[in-house]
This record gives sequence, structure tokens and C-alpha cells, in this order.
Amino acid sequence: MSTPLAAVVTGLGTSEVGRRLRRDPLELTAQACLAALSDAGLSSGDIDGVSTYPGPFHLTPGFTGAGVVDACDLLGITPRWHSGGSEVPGQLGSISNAVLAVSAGVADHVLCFRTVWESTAQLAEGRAAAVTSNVGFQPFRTWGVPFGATGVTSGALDAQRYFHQYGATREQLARIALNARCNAAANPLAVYRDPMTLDDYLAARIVSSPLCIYDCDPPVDGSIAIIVSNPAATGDSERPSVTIEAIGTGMGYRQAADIMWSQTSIGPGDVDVAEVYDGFSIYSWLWLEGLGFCKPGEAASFVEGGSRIALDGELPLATGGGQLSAGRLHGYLHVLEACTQLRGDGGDRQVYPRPEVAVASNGAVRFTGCLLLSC
Amino acid sequence: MPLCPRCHSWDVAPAEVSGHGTVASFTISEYQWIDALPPPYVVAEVELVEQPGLQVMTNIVDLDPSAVRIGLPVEVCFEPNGDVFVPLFRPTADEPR
Repeated sequence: MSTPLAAVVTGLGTSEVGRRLRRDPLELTAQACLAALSDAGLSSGDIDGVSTYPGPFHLTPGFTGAGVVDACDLLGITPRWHSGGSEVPGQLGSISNAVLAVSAGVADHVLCFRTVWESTAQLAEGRAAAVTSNVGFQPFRTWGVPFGATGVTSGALDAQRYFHQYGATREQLARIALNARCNAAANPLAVYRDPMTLDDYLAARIVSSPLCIYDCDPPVDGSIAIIVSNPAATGDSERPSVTIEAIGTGMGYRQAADIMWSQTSIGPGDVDVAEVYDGFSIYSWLWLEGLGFCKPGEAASFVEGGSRIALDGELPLATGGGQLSAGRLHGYLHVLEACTQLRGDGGDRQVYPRPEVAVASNGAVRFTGCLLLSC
Repeated sequence: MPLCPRCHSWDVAPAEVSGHGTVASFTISEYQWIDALPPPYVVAEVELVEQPGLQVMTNIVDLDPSAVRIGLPVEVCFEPNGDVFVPLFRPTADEPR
């Protein structure tokens, strides 16, 4: 199936990002949106679409900091099109919705954003309130919380099953966290940049076996804004724009990826950099397999030793530190970093030669989405 | 589920099951997330013998957490809690502890 997408990323912006910032999430949202407008060379009057995930409300404290209406009121935007909700293809489903809107000609410039302030919210609400509510969907909550199942349980059960089925080990899984930490050192946005060794990882506190504290992304406060535009509306701007080649919108790692690959002649072997979701480290393995970088059961050996996924490896992964070390900016971080690498703006973590094709993926289980980007 | 998702029949009703199954996956939680469950405790997905893929979330009890493994045969035991009975699972009677 050919899909006539016509969408480019024209603006990237971030707020300040950190642990326990104690800032108004609307302020973080405005910082990121203004930075993206400035990056794109657009004014708020040029923005005619707004898209966000998961909208203004969520059960988990600090899981969202602003909705569509908030952004419109903050910046004085009158959208022709908007979308903000939680049942989308991964967190970046709010971006793939924008891709569809600009491709259809419903909007020219869509401001997409995601704001989190979980780190500060958990000061008041406590960690337990956050994790017992953060279980993704209602049946799991109803049937899981009485047994002490939390957000991490889902990832831990997946990891245990994977270890059993394929004989994988914690030493192999460690490569996801170690690679992320290594790359975070050169990302000023990242919250954890101190070096980490395999011994540090293996000695770390187990949260829910076999996952240790370094397999879990740390909550942070921050906002990322990404402007998606119709290329016909960008005029003859000299600014670097990143083309969105394809969108993966199915329910499941493989299902989402298959839909993305079906829209393009580009294949997994053409990808120069991969920013796959790592809310829990095991999800990165499942995405590497789902996206076709290796076969099911092979992700453990694919990342073994870490050289293949390093910045100078065959498939650089989590080049900005991922959520595991940069912080739980929840999906948008991966799109931001993919675009940053494609534009050659990675500074000391820039992949050389400058990548021409990148993939970004978000979410887990059936809440999944991915983007194929080029520059 | 008010209907069968495969054939869309509305002729569905609760059915008694044997309470026997095997551990499909599990995790030992080392963190006290809720007051009633001091760590370590085992959260497991148990696949019931009646149907492949028919899984319930539960706790494995009456067994040292380090002895839980995928494939372990288990049976239900009900823990009274207020006005409900919570289905927990323990190793089946003939399974060596």
C-alpha cells in the first residue's frame, strides 16, 4: 500500500528538564513550544494545528502537564485542527496524527507537544500512587493492583518470559542501560550522565525481577515540542527539515513496524540510527525485533558487548541516552533525538557520517507507534 | 466480555474452571508498593489448563519466591478479604516444594 504522506518536521524545542524542578507544567509547556516556534522560524499565528498526548487529564500524578486548550490559551493559537487523547499509536501517535492532518491538507503547521512533571508530582503524591495508577489500561489495573502489580510488573513479566524462552541474561540486558548511559554523557538535556559499569548494573537494587533500578526510566519534569508541517507550506526556507517517510500505527511492536515498512521502499538495513522506546530496557529488545533489525529471540545477542549499538556501531541506539538516562520524557525524547541526529546537531554525541535515515518508536505491548524519518 | 469476540454470540456466561494452571511468567517484587503486600512477593501470570492463552494475574503463595519458575504447576486458593475472595495460587499438592 502506498501512502502519500506529505509531512516534515520543521521545529524542535525543549523546556528545561530535570528532577524535582517544582515548576508550573504550563511554564514548561510554553518554554518548549516557544523554542520550537523559534527553531522553525514561525510565529504562533502560523500554527493552525495542535496535537498532544495524552490530553489534559490522566490518573497518574504528573503524567501530563497541559492539553490542547492549555497550549492554545498559553500561546494565542486558533487551530483549524486539533487532537489530544490517550488512545493513539504510542505517545508519538499524537505526532502521527499530525502527519495525517498536514498530509490531508487540514492544517499547514501542527504544534505537537508532550509535557511531564512526574518527578515533582510524586513529591506530593508518593511513588506508590504513581506506579499503581500507571498501568496503562483499565483491565490491568482492576485485575492487577490487588496483587501488587504496578507499571514495572508488565515489563518484568515480559523480561522474565524472554529470559526463559531464549536463555537471555541480565548481562545481555545490561547493554541497553549501559549504552544509554554512555551516550547520555554528551547530552546536556540528560538527567543522569555519570559513567556506569557492568558491575554497577549487576550490583544495583532489583525493583521487580529480573529488572533492576537501571532498567527503569526515572521520572523527570520537562516538555518537548515538535512542529510538523506540510512541505508545501514551508516556502523556500533554508532551515533543515526532516521528512517523515512513514508512520507505524498498528497495535504491537511488529504490527506497528510492518505498517510503517509497508509505506516505503526503505528497509531496516537502510536505517542509520535507531531511537527505540526504553521505558523499561526490555522494550528496546522487543522493538529491535519488531522493527526487523534482528529476528525474534536475537535481540540479546544483537546488543551483546555493546559495540553494534554504540555511537560508532552499525546501528547506533539511544544516542542521547534514551529515557533510561535522559529521563522519562515519555516518547517525544526519541523523536527529538532522531531529528537532532538527522540534522547533524548532536554535538559530541553526533553520529558520523551524519545519518540520513532514522527510526523512532514509542510505547509497549499494544500501545505502540513508530516513525521513519529522513534528511 | 458481554459477547464472544470471535463469533459475536451473546450466549455467554460465567463458567466454572478447575483452578489448575501453570506459571506463564512471574516477577519477584522487591518494593512495597501497597500496604498489604510487604516485599518480596511474587506477581505471576497463571495460564489455566482449560484454554491456551487464558491467563490470570495473581500472587504465588506457600512457596519461597526464589523457587518460583515458569511452567510450575499451580492451583487456586482463595483468600477472604472483606466481602470478596481473592484468587491466589500455590504449587499443586503433588508438586515438591
